[in-house]
Order: sequence, then structure tokens, then C-alpha cells
Amino acid sequence: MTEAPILRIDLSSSVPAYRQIAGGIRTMLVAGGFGPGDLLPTIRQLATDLGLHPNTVAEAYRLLAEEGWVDLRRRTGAVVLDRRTPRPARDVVDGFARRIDELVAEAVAAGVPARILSARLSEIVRGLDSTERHREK
Amino acid sequence: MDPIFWPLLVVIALVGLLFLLMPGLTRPDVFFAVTVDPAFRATAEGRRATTTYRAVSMASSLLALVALALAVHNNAHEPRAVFALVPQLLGTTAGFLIARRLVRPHAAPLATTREAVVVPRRVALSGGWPLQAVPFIVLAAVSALVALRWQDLPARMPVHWGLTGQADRWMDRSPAAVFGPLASAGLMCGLMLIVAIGLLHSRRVRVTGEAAPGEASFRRVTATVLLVAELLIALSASHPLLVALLPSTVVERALLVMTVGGVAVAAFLVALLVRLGQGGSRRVPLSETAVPVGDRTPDSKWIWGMLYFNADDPALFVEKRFGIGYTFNFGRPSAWVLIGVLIGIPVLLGLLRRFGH
Repeated sequence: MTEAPILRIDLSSSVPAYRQIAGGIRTMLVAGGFGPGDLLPTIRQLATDLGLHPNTVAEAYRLLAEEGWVDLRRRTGAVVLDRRTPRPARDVVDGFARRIDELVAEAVAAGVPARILSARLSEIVRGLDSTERHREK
Repeated sequence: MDPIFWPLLVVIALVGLLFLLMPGLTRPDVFFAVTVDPAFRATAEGRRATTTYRAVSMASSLLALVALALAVHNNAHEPRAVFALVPQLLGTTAGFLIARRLVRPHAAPLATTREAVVVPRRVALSGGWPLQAVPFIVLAAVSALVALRWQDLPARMPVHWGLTGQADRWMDRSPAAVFGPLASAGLMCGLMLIVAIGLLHSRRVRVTGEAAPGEASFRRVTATVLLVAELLIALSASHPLLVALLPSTVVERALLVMTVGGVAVAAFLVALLVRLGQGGSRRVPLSETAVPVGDRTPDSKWIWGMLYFNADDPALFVEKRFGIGYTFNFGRPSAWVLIGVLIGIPVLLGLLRRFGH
């Protein structure tokens, strides 16, 4: 039996809760944690478990819907879509590269050793490769 | 000596024992309704709070016994003798509030991390829908039997028996007095079913590690207690009518077996809940509760540690902070609607019985 995906958020973070929720679920979607047609929890369920206002979760789901990850339905909640990965424009790639540079610099400045960061990034890439291979099969 | 003395003595003793056990049944990081470091209980201040609470609670139980002895000595009968329980409840509440005051300066800041399982909730009611339908089937069958044999009902029937087994309240044969209680019991069972479904959908406080399955078991057992209570309500509403209509020895025996069985099952389930601890927390190794998360509700939203008012929390049911089971989030309007109906039904029942006279 596979482990149930767990979403963690930190209310003391400067990142708004809805962005943390969207970010956490997006990470699961990219890692292949859900397949097309899978259901996400209802807005009320996730809001109850996280102790947040339902509007916060609804905002996160709307963000994921705008990115093409899920289809929002009134009764069943959010359904995962078979999302085609878009071909990114040059400035989008540059923008993300800059954000990674900034994040790595922030981590190093906070004392996180470079080898841990390197291992984590390699792990993420390996995970993405394996998900890709799984999809191609 | 009035025969009411012994049953009430047992009740006071059992309730007193449960009150003494209460501090040990809460989550390790919720102590006298305050979120604390799990290690706090074992400190000198923690032990002082427990000792103070237990001393006051025990004294109030003794006071209740004295009140009972006095009531019996003065020939007070039920229901006046039941008032002997009041000092026990009030005294223990006072003990809890004193201990809470001792603990509050040591409150831990609420954890800012929250977690949730990103999987749609699938809830399974105990025994599935067939078993959940039993209380309603019992009530429907008794209603049909009464309708078919209306003429066989006596003009006056006992509806309530005291602790000593003597009938002390009666009703006349009228549609309101006969069908009203059955309908009210059906409504009450329906509401309890809604509460059970609500509990199964309630917040998962801990979603990882050993704590998660323990919490799931606790929730399932609590929902099963509600089902047993529904069965007992259906039996108690049907009892006077079945006694009046069917051969009394057979009915009495069958109802006695079912009631004793139901109470025994309920007692077993309550013992199971005590063993699990609040939210299944007694199954969790202490290492998993190193960081205090409590029950994921802020201390500031609890009045006297007993009433939870939080309009920003979408949860309708939250774990009690002292004791076993769940309570309402009074900050939600739907809680007031449910409470209104839950209180309204017994009031309606009383009016119907009065009207039936």
C-alpha cells in the first residue's frame, strides 16, 4: 500500500497559506502522486483538517485550475486533469532559474550545507525522471 | 433504607472514579484544557495541578455521598435523591478550573504547522447502512403494530419506571401520546446518525505515524457508541407500547435482554474509549508527541476549557479538551441549529406526553 500524500503548511511562513497549499499539491502532481481522473479532497474537508477558512483552500484550488492541473466541480470537488506540459518561453525558464539561484543562496546563507542541497536537487531530478519514464510506459 | 440508595451509590462511585482518571485520558499535550509540553505533566507544577484537581474531585464525591445519605435519611425519593450528584459535578468542575489556573502560565505556543491527508475522505459507518437502519426499523415496526392493534391498547399505560422498577409516570391512549414519542425517538436517532457522520468527517488532528490509526479507531468507536445509544432510545420509546400489547413475560424478558445487552456493549465501548485515550492518544509513543500540537485548536478560543467558540474554524465537531469524546464548535451557526433540535426533541416529547394526558 502506498503512503497517503500528506500536505504540510506553516502558518508562520511569509508565504500565504493558499500559495503553500497550491505549491504542496502541485509538487504531488508533478511527482505523479495523482493520475488523471483522481479526486482531490473537497474544499471543506481540506479546510477542516488544516483549520483554515474554506475560501483559502478554494483560492489554492482556483490557482491549480488556472494552471490546468485540476477541473473544479461543484459536487465532487477537484478532479485531476491529464495536463500537457507547455513548452516554456525563454523568460519563464530564466525566471525559474533566478528563483532557484535565490532559494539556494537563501539556504546557504541560513547555514544549510551545499552537499545537502545538491543531494536534494539530485533526488528531485531523479524523481522527475522516474515519473517521466513511468508515464511513457 | 430506600432502595434508591444502592443504585445511586454505585453511580456516584463510578462517576467519581472516572473523574479521578480524567487527567490521564486527555492528549499528552493537552493538560487541564491547556496546550502544554507533553513533559509538563511530570514536573512538580504538573503534579501539583493533578493532585489539587483529584483532592477537590474526591472531596466533592464524598460530599455527594453525604448528600445522598441525608436525602435517603429524610425519605427523599427519586428524582430529589438524584440531586445528590450535583455537589460531585460542581465540585469536580471547580477542581478542574483551579487546576487549569495552575497550568495556564505554562501554556506552550500553538504549533504553526498544519498537516492534512490529500485524499478524499471515505467514511464507513459501523456495520454499514443495514445495521444503522435497525433503530429506525424497530420504531417503524412498533408504530405499525400499534396502529394495527390500537383497540388492544389499555386506556392508561405506564411510561416511566423509577430506578427501583416501580412505574411512576403514566400516559393515556391518544395518537399524540402514543405516536409522538415514537416519532421523537426516530427524529433523535436521525440526528444522532447525522452527528455520527459528522464525527467521522471531523478533523484529523494527527495524520502521520502511530497516532493516525489510533485516532481513526477512536472515531469509529465513538460513532459506534452513538449507534448503541440510538438502539437504546428506540427500545426505550417502544418499551411501554410493547409491554401493553404483547405477552408481558416474553416482552419483558426480551426487552431486558436487549437493554442489558445494549448497556453492556455501551459500557464495553466506553471502556475501549478510556483505553484508547482522547483521540486515541494513549496508543501513541511519547516520542511522537515531542512537539506540542494539542488538538489543533487555539487555547484562546476555549471558554473555561470547556466551550469552543471559533467562527474561523470550519470544524463543526472538535475533541473535548477534558474528558472523552467530541464537542461542538459553538462559533458555527450549524452547531446551534443541531443543539436547538437536540434540546427541542425532549421538550416536544414532554409536551406531547402532557398533551396526551
